[in-house]
Amino acid sequence: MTTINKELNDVKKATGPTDEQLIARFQQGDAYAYDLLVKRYRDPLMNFIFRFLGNRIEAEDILQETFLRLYKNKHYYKEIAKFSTWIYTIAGNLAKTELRKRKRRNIFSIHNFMSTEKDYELPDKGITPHKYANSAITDKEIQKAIGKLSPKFKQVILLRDVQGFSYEEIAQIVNIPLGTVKSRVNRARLKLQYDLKKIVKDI
Amino acid sequence: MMNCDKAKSLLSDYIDGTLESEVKAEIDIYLEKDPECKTVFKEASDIQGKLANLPQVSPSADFDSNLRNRIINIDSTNKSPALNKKGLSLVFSGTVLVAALYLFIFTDIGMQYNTQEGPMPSSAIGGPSTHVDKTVVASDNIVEPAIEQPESDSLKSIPEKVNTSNIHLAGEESK
Repeated sequence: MTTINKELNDVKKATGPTDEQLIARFQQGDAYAYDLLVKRYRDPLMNFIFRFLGNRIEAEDILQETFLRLYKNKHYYKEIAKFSTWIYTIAGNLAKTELRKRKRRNIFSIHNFMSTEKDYELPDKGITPHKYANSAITDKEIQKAIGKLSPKFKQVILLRDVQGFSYEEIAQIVNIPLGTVKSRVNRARLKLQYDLKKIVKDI
Repeated sequence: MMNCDKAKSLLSDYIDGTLESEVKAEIDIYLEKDPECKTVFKEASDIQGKLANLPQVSPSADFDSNLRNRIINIDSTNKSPALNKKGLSLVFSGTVLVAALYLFIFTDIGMQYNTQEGPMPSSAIGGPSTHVDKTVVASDNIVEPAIEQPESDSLKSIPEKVNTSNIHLAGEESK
């Protein structure tokens, strides 16, 4: 189990009621239950969205929008699904939409025809050619490699390896068959390994 | 027969530890023979461990207050149409009431008066009346109204019938 999910469980244990009990209370008009859900999911969702988009400001906007959707559409939640998968579905869909918008903006941006911002990034002076072999990859390099993944691979690898969801839960969140989830996670791990090797070599 | 591509297809199961022991042993044997493939497995496994331990990114300190403000806005937006409808209906009702009162007080609408017996409508006071007493049907017998003569001294027009000695104007001494 990942650190994030451990923290989430600690919060749940400390506060008592399950997510499903809280959303049921909120559906009946208990605003305090909504506050508790926000408190539980604020950090893990922020982490997920930030890793997805790689931009803190955008991530916070999407996080706000996720909680607003929860507030406005509380009655759409049905108890057949776990609350966590439902809220991650909302956040993931919003993050993917944001990526599509960003792609459109980049297409029409004049900066697209010039050097990208990434070209101006200064290399970390602490990096050596043997860094990868020494397993001293920085978080920044990992984030860069995540950013190179396509959204469908990015979503499953973040849900699996960063957020610690099971394959079955990911299948529910992304709404794809279990076999497809496993296949995507496998390919994403291989792609991440290949890209990180390249990133470290380039530096 | 195991090869690197086949082993790679089982990478996730290998890392997650969900492979059957026989299959895992087969991959381990193969990886010993293929150092390049073994490096891929080791690096992928390392990355998976690092992903699980990436530092937590938290929202900014004013996140909760910003969210609360947006929710308040949603609530007020959702409530305002109802208020507007209510407000509009009140304003409309009030306007209709005032208009009705105005019509009854300041106009002759709704008032059946008789010029002989009833009071003079207020609209007729101090100005020409727009009230039509009856419908006038066009007819050949319509008599054109007499053209109003300009005001003139009637005494001058018939001087022979006037005994001016009986007329005393103000300020004149009686003769």
